[in-house]
Amino acid sequence: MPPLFSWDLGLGRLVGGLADDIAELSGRALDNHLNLAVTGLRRSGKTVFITSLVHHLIDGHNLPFVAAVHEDRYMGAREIPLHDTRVFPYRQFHHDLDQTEPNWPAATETLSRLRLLIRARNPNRLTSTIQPIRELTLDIIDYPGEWLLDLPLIDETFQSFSEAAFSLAQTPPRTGVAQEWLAMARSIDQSSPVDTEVVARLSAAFTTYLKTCQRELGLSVIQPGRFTNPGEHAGSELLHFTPLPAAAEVPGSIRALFRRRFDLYRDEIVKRFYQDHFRRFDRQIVLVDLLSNLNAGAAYFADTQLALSMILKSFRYGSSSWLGRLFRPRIGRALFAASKADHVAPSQHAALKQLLELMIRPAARSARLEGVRPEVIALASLRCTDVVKTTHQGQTLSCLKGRRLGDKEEKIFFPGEIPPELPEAEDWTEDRFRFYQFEPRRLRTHGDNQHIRLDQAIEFLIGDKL
Amino acid sequence: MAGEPKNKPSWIKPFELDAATANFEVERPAPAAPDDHEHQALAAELVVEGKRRGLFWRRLGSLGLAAAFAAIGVDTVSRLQDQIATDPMIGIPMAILLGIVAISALGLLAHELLQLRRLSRRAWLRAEGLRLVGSDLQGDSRPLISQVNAGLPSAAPILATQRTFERQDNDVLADGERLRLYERVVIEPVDRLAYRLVLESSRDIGVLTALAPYGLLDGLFVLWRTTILMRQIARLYGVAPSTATTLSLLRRCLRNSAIAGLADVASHALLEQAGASLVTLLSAKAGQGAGNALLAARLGLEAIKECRPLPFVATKQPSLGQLRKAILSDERAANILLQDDEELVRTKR
Ligand SMILES: Nc1nc2c(ncn2[C@@H]2O[C@H](COP(=O)(O)OP(=O)(O)OP(=O)(O)O)[C@@H](O)[C@H]2O)c(=O)[nH]1
Ligand SMILES: [Mg+2]
Repeated sequence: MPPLFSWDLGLGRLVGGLADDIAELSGRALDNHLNLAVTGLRRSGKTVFITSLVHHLIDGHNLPFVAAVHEDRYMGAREIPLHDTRVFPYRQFHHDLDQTEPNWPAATETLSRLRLLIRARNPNRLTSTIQPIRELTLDIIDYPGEWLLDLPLIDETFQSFSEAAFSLAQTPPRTGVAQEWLAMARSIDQSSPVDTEVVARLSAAFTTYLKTCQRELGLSVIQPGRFTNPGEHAGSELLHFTPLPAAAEVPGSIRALFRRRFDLYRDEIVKRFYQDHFRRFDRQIVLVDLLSNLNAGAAYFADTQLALSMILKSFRYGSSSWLGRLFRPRIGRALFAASKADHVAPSQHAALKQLLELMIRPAARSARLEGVRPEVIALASLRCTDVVKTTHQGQTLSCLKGRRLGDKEEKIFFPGEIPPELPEAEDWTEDRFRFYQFEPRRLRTHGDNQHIRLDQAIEFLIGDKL
Repeated sequence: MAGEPKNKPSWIKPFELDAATANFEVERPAPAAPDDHEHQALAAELVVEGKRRGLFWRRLGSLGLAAAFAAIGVDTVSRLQDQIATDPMIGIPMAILLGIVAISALGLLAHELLQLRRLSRRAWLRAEGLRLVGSDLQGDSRPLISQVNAGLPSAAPILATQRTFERQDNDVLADGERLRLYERVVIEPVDRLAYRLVLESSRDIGVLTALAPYGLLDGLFVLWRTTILMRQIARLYGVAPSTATTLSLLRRCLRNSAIAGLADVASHALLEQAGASLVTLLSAKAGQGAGNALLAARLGLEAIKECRPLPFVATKQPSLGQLRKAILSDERAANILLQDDEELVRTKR
């Protein structure tokens, strides 16, 4: 006979979760708790960033630009166990990277959370007699990048969502792959009663279209996000709907069903996700994988730009008062990072940074309006290449030496030069850029040269609290 | 338009090479030889010089001086010739003696000029530093840093910080980043020693002017102690403290304080004196001592600015107000400003 109530029933988690929340609230009251938003589209490098960040904070080595480390005040960090959600598998990711044959973490499929306690000696001689050690609790969540695109849906209705989806599907580069679904969606009789067969076919076509856009075309604006990465909703009926052309709604019809499912999706999944995890950020890093955009072409650059602007509307920027910090925090510092900067030679980082500035200009507008000035850097959480010089057609060029993803041997690459401005469409030929992904290098304890500007990112994001 | 034949693209196509067979070198350029920068440096100095006002009169003055010296020289030589002709037994030893004197005087002059040049070279280094510090590009910071390194004294603690910098330096850093790192790792500890020197000297001056019975005496004391401070600071930053550099430094500092800070000094001193009216009543000398101390501190800060091979960017120079608090209040405030570097100070002396 099972015990009357066991910890497995969730009571333990509930109590533990409550304890976590209380710890956070008291930390916020004392101003030594920060929620860091690690934001980025799919495959932009969030999980690797978090893993490397935690590794370096625990290790405390090779962070010359962190003031607390430079002043020899930094004491270290450790993970605080959490109770209520899935915990970010730092140990596992770190273990996978700290191997002679290291492996990248797999694409994220669920949400996970991590809490870190960071300690440094108080630099202020006057207050240090009362408080000799400063403690900072840092909360970070990791999630599939696809889900971010759901956030803008909060303000949409089925009608407006459908309109946007149709107009997007009719513009290149989506037109080609959208044909099948478009034709099907236009041909069905929306007022006919629900036929499960038709519903299944229609939603399968839509999901296939979205997946093709994402996996084959490499596009960013993929809505709804759970259709391509369902997480715990895999197989749920809630995900079986598609946008429909404008029409009047008849009770019991396909349209009514889809509208209801959209509303449920928006209210039960997206709003809950937002309420639980996205409302309470104090600092933000937005990771952007510019290089794959350059590989793909002009239309993709614009698509990512659009996706970023849509997403960042869901975050609140500005400075918060003491009470605000407790209950309605705002993001007071935002950092935009061109991730995977080790995919190009350092001599091109200036151009990379400039291009990123150009890309995020519309997205950063809301932050600017609230007086938050976003900073821009070129960053690599885990550096996988060396810089070498070669002579090519009489010119000395900075190249990369590293092991391309899937290769056995290291090679020397000149992946193309990053223009400081967006190239004209006709200059954007097939063979202009060839930025590759690389196999990871081992993430060592006390290793040197393992990141690019991670320390500057840390200093910008949390340096004032250390 | 679209049909037009396209020129060769202005960009280089991506390519890849086999690491086993290709020719490549790891990017870690040896610091450029200082020589090829020497010329630029000199040129830059001349430009700086040329912009100064009153250059014409100065040139005229030095020309006159040189003419006077030449006249004296010619005169002496002709007298010596006469002497040798009439009485070689006295004339020849005298000629030798005078020759030695002339040669050593010339040597001294050359030395002084060289040291002066080193001091004015600092301005060029700082200008270069300022130009690079906002740069996201690469390639110019390492040569500049190796020049700055060469200009610093080779004392053990400085060598140690230079090694720390070498360790933390990284081939991905942009010029601005590398300079900021260098400033924080290598220059900042030197600054702290310099602030300590400034504090000590202004405290000495403050105490002694308050105690000394005669006005003339404190004037002399202030001058003497400030000169020592200038020499100490110059030595700390690797500018050899010859007479000419000390005087030039003092002159520059006085000029700068007159432009930027005399009002500051005066108002602070006045405020200080007004605030300390009770003390002033008890002893007018005390207020004067505070004023002198502040003046010395101001000059010290200026001397640091003049001798420092890089501009203040990553670190801030303490304001006169902070220093004033440190001088006038207790040891505690001074420590906040300086933090403890007992060891560094000891090895330095
Ligand atoms: N060379 C290099 N590659 C990186 C770096 N960060 C990420 N990558 C590459 O980018 C891939 C995706 O990184 P993740 O951190 O898993 O991306 P993510 O944002 O978590 O992606 P989702 O979980 O799908 O949202 C990795 O598998 C690496 O190949 C980096 O700093 N350097
Ligand atoms: Mg991930």
